[in-house]
Amino acid sequence: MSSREQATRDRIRRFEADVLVHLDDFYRAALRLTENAAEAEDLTQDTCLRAFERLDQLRSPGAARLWAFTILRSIFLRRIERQSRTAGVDVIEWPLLEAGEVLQDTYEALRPIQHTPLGEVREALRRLPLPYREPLVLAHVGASRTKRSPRSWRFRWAR
Amino acid sequence: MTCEQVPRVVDAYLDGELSVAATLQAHEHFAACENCRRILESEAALHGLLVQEARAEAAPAGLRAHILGTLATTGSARTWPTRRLAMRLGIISGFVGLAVLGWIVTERTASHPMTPLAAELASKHLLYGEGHGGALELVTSEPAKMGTWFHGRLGFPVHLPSVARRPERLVGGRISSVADSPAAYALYDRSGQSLSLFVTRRVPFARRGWTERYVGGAEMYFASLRGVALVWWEEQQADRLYAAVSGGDEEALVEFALLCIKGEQSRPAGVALPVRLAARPLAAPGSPRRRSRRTRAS
Repeated sequence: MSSREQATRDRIRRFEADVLVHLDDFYRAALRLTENAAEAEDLTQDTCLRAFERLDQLRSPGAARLWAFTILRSIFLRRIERQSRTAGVDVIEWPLLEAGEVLQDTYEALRPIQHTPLGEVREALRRLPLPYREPLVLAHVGASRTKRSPRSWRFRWAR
Repeated sequence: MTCEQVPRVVDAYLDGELSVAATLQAHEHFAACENCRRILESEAALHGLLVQEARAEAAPAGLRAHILGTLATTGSARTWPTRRLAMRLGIISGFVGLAVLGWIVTERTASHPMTPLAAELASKHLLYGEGHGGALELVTSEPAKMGTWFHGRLGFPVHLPSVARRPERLVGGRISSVADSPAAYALYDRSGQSLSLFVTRRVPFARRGWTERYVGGAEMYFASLRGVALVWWEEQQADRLYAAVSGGDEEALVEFALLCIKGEQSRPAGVALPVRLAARPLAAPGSPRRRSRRTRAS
């Protein structure tokens, strides 16, 4: 085995241990974001390939998960931008709300949420406009520590 | 904490993003307010459901193997060193480009208050000039005598301008140096203000920091350093570098510089002096001096 092949094998081994171990979470986030299994697989694969290409940029194995999610998010947003340009999809028809802005009224009408079937939660999440759904999904998958869109993302959405 | 504030902080409370003080305040409020406690429980349940939902299913069975297969067979695994090299080269060339651009911008916009030549001339002017003759090797008011003295020591002729009809008065001179090259130093007095003239063979030096101007058909380079005005010009035919330095205003320095230039060469036809200077008759070399020495104005 040549030294180059050995280097590639070592690289793949490192990639498996640091990045690919989070594959399920990448796929889950991709599925919630794209709402399509095939697209989710595609997004997950592209994320992994790009992460592999840029593995040298990863300084600490502990940061691999958030780092790979950043790549996933970036690829996803770029695709949305491309789609919205070609298909004329306007992803920003909904005004962004501040935290807690509509909650006060809706709490009164809430039934005990603990008894809500999971399917209903999924459906509600699916109906949520992308600017809200994206940070929520990524936060609950464990891809980010906040459920609020970063300001830069808002600009991106608002374009 | 009030009930109105609760919906805005409940999410951050559940995620542990509040400060210690705010967490304690919220905790206190939830203990006392049943309605807000209901909101908290609801939010906590929703949080749990979302996590549950978000982590409901695993990636398809073949996805992992497919990705690994792609890494091993497609260009990704094999081409990464080349791509990385190309990327690094790109980054390096980008930095080099930026550095060059920055240098150009700096060269064009930044002021250079301390060019080596300016600093050297200004310091020598202050050293020899402000002592009013103390540092001079020959004290004379006759330019011809001073020129001969320079020639004998430097090995090249130095023509000093006639200042017979000028407010400047030659005080004397000494041997000095400019940019490590031997130079003639002549000190003039203009209404109590020292004016230094350096004459040397043309030497190469950086011209940045000097402002180039054409005055009376002559190419001059100006600078100012801590209240000292400086100008230098070249005498192409005689292969000389002239520099005049003064603590006074720049206009007087320009007049003196033009006087030096006119003393060296006859004015070419069609090249007019500035009106201000043209009105003043310049003494031609060899013209009879009406006054060889002006009394120093008090």
